[in-house]
Amino acid sequence: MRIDNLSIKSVTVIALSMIGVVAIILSVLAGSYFKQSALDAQMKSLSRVIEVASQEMLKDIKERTFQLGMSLAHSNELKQIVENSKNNKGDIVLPNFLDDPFINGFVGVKDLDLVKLRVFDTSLNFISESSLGIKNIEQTLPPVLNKKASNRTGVERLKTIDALWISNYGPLHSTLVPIGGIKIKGYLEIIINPAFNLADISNITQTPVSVFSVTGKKIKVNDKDSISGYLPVEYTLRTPDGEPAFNIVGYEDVDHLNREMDSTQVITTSGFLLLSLFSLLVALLLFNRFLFTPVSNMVMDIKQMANGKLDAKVDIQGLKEFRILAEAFNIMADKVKARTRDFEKMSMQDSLTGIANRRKFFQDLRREINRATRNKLNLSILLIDIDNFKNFNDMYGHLVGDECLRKVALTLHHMVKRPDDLVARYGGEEFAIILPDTSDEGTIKIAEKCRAAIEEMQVVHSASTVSEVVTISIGGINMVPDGSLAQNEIIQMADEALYQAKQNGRNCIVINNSRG
Amino acid sequence: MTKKFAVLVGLFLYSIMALADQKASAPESVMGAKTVIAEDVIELMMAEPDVTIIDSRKNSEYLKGHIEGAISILNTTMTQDELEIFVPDKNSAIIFYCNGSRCLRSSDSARKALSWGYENIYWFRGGWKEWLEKKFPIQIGENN
Repeated sequence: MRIDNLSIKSVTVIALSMIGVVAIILSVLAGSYFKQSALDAQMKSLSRVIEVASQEMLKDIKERTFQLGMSLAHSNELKQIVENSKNNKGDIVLPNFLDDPFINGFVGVKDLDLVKLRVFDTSLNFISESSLGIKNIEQTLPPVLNKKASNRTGVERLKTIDALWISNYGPLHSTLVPIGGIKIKGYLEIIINPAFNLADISNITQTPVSVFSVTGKKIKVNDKDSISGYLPVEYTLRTPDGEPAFNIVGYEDVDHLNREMDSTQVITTSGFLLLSLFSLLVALLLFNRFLFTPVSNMVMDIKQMANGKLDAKVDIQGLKEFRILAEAFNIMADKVKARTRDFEKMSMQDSLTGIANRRKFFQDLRREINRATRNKLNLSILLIDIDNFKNFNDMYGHLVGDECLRKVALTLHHMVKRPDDLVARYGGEEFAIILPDTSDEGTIKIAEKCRAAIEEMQVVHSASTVSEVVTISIGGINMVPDGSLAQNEIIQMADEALYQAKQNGRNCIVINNSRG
Repeated sequence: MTKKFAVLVGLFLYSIMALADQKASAPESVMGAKTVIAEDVIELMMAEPDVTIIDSRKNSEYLKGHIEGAISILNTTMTQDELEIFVPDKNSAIIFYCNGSRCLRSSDSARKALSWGYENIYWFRGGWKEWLEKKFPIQIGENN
């Protein structure tokens, strides 16, 4: 289908519908894009929340172990035992002291999973350890802590330091506190298992969480792990050396997010759809009122004018441009109408004399014959010939001949008064008159009046064989036509009468009566 | 008239809010006292074993944790007689501290000590907050 064949209404409706459809498709596509973006943002946000929660947990561990360390390391008893142990390695007093928190508990016992207590001298050499807690860990400071501690000088050595590290048991957290306060006697290392605290990370994140140690040990596995609709978000907690210690997996409830996003998308798309339909309806109503209807009316009016109804006018309505177009079109139509009338008039008028021409004569004759036949009325036709006009032209020239013709035409024109009467130039120096509904006597009277009037013009005609002035011969017929005679036959009869008048010596009239 | 009144009320409210927003802050220094940081405190404790450290906070705060060897004397209740019991020699070094730069107690105590003729006054402006941040040894409860 070619677009040119479509109406402006169809094109507008199609264009508006396409805009509506495109808007809806875009809203659906944008919805999917936003959904993905929202999901990504949610995952990033959860990852960040897990990171912050993990760091908070570590901070909490550090504070608690610091408190525990300070309460243990400031004991005069420990100071004394450490002093003595330096000289008596293998003494069981120190291990017994270090076992005490495992047996009798300590402040915050429910918040920490204490796995070992160890004592080092001021040069960071191992002295002793608790016999309780985990076994067989290397009797040296964890490398990461050792590195931190051995680089310190002066008062820095009094500061408590801590670190997450990987032991053969998995990730552990050590805190190194000075024994004896300012007057340092050695160091106490408090080793705890951070997995104990990390298991509660979901209390902060408010999402299901699974925690795995770097060795793959499942510390806490959430049942949401096997449920679809939850998307895992992983965060790796590392030691200060960058070594992975724990993998913490949070589970984002994507089903909930999807439901919310779907409902948002349905609302958005429905909104777009309703808006598009409403806009389309309003646009169509406005277009129909101000565009389609005026254009349709204009097209109909123009078609009527094209079919010859010159009186038709285009309605001035619609948008500004259409009103201007309609006004311009009406002006143009008026001009066309006037010009057409001029042309019609010119086509029926004799250019030399200004009276009706032969075409007009035959047109009126046909009409009057039909009318007379239909109404059974009299009809008279007169054929007039200027006597010896060829001689006139030869003697006075064509210009004077033309002037003579004009005078004869004007005189004859003034002889017939009724609206339906017609005087026409029949050809050369011949004229014809139609006298509808005229009796025989009336016809003779008018014919005689015409003949006399021409004679009375007193136009000199020296070459005439009839008179000194221009005269005419008139042949006519008066009849009540009944349809049996054709137009040509009627003219023929009038012509015969004219011939007869000429035979009778010209400057006379011959009117025949006939029926047919 | 109404407009002017509204402007005045606005200005009044703004000044009240501005005043309310200003939190109490310790002075930058105390005239006659040497301002020190945590490391200086330890150096002093090592160099001068007789140095007296006075915790000007409430005793309840002191018991939760304090600098090793510090004595708890609340600034508002500290009297010259009481101080003289702990530090009879006016040339002895005394370090005052409280909760940190937002706390006004230790600067007040230091000024009092200076006014009573003590000449070797140190003011640990960073106080307990700085001490904990630097993770220096603390003592919980009473001194041993």
